[in-house]
Amino acid sequence: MLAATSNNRSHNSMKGLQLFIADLRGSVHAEDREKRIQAELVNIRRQFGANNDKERGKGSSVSPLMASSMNGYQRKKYVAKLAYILIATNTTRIADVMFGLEECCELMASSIYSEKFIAYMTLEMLYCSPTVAQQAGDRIIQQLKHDLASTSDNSVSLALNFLAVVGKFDSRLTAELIHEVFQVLRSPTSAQILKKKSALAFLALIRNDSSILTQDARRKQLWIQRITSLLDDSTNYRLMISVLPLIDYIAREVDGQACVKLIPQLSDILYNCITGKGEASYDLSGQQSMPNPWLVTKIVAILNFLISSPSSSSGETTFSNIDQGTLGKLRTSVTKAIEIGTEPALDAVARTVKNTILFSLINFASKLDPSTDAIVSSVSALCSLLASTEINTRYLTLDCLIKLCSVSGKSARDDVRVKHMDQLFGLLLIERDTSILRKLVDLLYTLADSSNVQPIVNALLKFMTDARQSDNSIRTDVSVKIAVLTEKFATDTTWYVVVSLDLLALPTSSLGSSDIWQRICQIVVNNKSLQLLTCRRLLEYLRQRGNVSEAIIKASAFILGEYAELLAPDTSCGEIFNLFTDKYFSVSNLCRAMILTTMMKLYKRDGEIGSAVIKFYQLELNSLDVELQTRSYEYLKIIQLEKVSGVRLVEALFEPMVPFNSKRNPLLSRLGGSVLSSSDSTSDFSTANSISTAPTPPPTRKSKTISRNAKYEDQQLAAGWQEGLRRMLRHKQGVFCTSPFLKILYRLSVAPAQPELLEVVLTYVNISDQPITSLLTDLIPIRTDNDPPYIMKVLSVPNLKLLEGERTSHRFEILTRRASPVEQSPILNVSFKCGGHTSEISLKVAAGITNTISTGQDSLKGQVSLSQFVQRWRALGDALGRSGEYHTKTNSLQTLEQIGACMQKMGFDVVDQAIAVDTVFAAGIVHTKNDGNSGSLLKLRWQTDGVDITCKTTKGGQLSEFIVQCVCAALA
Amino acid sequence: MVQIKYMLLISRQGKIRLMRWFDAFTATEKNKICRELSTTVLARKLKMCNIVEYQDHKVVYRRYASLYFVCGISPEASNELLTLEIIHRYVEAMDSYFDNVCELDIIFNFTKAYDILNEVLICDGSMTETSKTSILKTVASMDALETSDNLDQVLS
Repeated sequence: MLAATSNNRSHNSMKGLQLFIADLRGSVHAEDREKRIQAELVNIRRQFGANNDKERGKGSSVSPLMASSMNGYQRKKYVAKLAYILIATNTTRIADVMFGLEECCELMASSIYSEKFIAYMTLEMLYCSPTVAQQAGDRIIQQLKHDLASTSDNSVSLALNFLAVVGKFDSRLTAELIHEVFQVLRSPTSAQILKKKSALAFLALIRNDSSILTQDARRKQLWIQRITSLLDDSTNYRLMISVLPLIDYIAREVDGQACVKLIPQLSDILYNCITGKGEASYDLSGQQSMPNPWLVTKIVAILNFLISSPSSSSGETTFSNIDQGTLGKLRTSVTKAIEIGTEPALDAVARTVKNTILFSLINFASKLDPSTDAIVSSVSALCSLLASTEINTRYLTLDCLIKLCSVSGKSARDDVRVKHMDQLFGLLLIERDTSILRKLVDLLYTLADSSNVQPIVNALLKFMTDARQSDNSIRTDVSVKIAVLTEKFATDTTWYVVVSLDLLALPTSSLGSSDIWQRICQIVVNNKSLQLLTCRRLLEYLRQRGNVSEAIIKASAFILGEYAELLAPDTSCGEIFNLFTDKYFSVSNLCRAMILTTMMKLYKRDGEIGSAVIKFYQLELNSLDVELQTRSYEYLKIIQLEKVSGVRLVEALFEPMVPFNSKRNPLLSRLGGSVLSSSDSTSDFSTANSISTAPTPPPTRKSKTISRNAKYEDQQLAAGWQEGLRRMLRHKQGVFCTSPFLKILYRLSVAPAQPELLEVVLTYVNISDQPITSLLTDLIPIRTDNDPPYIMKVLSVPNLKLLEGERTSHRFEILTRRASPVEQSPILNVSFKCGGHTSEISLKVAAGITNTISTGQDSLKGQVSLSQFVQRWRALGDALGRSGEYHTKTNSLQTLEQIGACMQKMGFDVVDQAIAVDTVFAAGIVHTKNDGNSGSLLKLRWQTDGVDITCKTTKGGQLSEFIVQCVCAALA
Repeated sequence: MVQIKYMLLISRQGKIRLMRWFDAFTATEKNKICRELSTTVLARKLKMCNIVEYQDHKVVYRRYASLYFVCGISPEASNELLTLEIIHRYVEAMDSYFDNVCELDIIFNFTKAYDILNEVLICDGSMTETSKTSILKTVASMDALETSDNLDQVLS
């Protein structure tokens, strides 16, 4: 593609522009080009200037014939030239072309398409400069309004393009034009291309200033619903491509909660796209159909954001909140993607598409509570791609493996550790690309633990000694990683010392800064067991012929200075002194200064080397470096003073090193950008083993726990919601709600095995004469964290589409954990579109404590006699006093029979008696997860002006109050 | 979060042939990016992978004949392979439109190059259209409009 020569078919009809471009291309020297541009600028300025003068002079005496000397074509040509100058100079000349702004705006108002187009294109380039908005903002906005309202799709399209490109630069555009853009977006008559463009233009504007949505709750709800309903046409994938980014933004920045209910719909689209149902494929030239990768990645990105990882704190949407059907679709999609990804592809393009889908879904899979098998198959799919010849694939595979290993945790890491280490080591040796190597090193770092740290570190060290790698930045990175890994996971002290010193012995350039040897010195000081060993190894290094790395000399200067006496019988201080004098002249000044101090420490231990030390210092008095000179002078004086006065001054000045107490490993801060979290590591070597790498959780919505509660408060309940709630408290099934379009029926049932679990089935019936689309539901509990009173689980969601008269069911469970006021019942939020009308209904679903009430002894026909009732009533009074009792009076006007019937429907056991004619006695057992079962007794005395209710429960606290609340609500 | 931060077309001589900024940058930043990327990308060898880590983001590039198509993408959101595909889509569209496109076509018809880009990518680097056929259809209808405009001009 992209041929080397032009086939001379020109699409550009402006001769003057052609000439100008050719001239610029023809000029070899930069000065020539510059001259040509200057000349052209002068020319254009003159043309425009003349025109402006005429315009101004129009009113007076200039003839109209002269005034029209600059026609649309010419104006277009000059503006286009200015645009080309802008490109040819890498936008450095933006100030020089600004004079053409006026003419550009003039051109924008032209009725001729090509002129309008050039004007818009030039303004798209110019608008990033704030001066444009200052000088011509009003004019441009006016023209945009005009064009957006135009009947010509082409003008609208140009205006939308313009807004999509520059919308982000100027918040005034948002304030002035967002309504117009939204009109295009929501209008059912807009052409598809305009809908697509307006979705993106809307996004560009809203990114600038989303207050337009957030300030007005009503508008927010309405607009978001309009936007999400654009996804309804589940076969129109092309429209989705443009709408999804907008939804993504809304989910992230505006109202994540409003988008949670899209999860089933998005999953549906994803599933259909991946399994190849529908027409989600994408037009690869004449090949087998393939899921559209853009659609897949976009949806996965949104889902990834909406669904939190299983380990996250409660209160967020995790896989457990999603109904099984949806979850199944998502899991199937992942499996299918692995299948697609691993089967051979026909050509490079198809392979890219397959891999893209594979990577994005594997990254998402960890959110779905994958089984170990699923992880293992993901890992093996990825590892098989490591052998790919395609370099980009290898890079992305590693990237994906890192994410998988750090997010999915142990099972993924273990699998790689067991099966694929050799492959990774092999790759480390043959790979040449820095980007890939960096990823590979990151991956090895993620995988390291105490069991495999030795082979990993050995492989990395081998990599370092391999002269093939010339990039220093990666070498520094690797060396820091080796240091951290050895410190963190080493179990064998000898190995630790050997490896650390090997690392220091590498050429200086690859170690970058001095952090590493300093850290090793700290650890040696803090761990007695390492000291002798380290000293011996360092001596070996120093005795080597040839150059030793400076880091080794620095570490030796410090450690041998501190612990020379450990070597006492074999190696004398004099010998060590000689070794250092050998090296002294081959190292940097900083290192020399250290050696001077070390000599002092050696002298402290062995006075016999005194004369040699003094000689050395005297020599260094002539040093050119002021630091060395001063140091030698001072040390010399100290020795002299000691000799004269006889005080052991050196002893006091060079005390043994005390252990370091810094708890943080300074090296970890250097790994900042790496995928791993920097867990703190103590400087105490022996305890450092216990620290493992904590994977960073992927980014998800923040501060959601608050928003969830706020959302509960935010709901505007539909008129007459109390009716449905009341009915639900009283009856096990019935009509929950009726609206002009939709009727909702309910059925409640309690699982016999788990009496505190209430299953709710809602049936949605379309009673309008048009199909209902985008039927989305959301259940909002009062809270999901901090000991919630009940937990909800969606079993199945209703269908998105309902034809006339069709019905669909929505099943969910409410698990009562503890008793709570009935007002805190969950809110059901239903939104749908019918015809051109969108509506939203919010209703409270009764989750009262009496919903799961049962009569005690079912087997014994459940009847409690009055005497039993009275006996229990007394017993309760004796045992608990008034703590389990609650009394209230409701002004219900029902008759005694109605009350009795109502209590029975609610599930209470009503005492069959004829002694107290104005009273209903009822008994029942309530079930909760946390507090177990408790019995309750109720006495309802009928009076002319209401009902007097007294309730006693076997458990103290507020339980009786909550029961009475439910009864009152049911009787009202 | 912006998907694609910018798209640049750089010639082998290091000249910028087309640029579009999807994210807000100051003039100095733009200059720096243009300058540094043209040297970084041009210096890379043919066999190296098409992804470079640059500043705080990633740069994906692909060479077509004498032109490098360079995209800066945000590290967390974007998929590198897909960006390459987007570039490819863009090139394919231009290729069909210009009938075997070359650098000169893009230089002389820069307005068309921008026009086609608008049909592929707008806003924050989101795709407008993935189907090549419909991109070309839109562009062709605009051309037709232009021709009829020109005709009107001549006739009037």
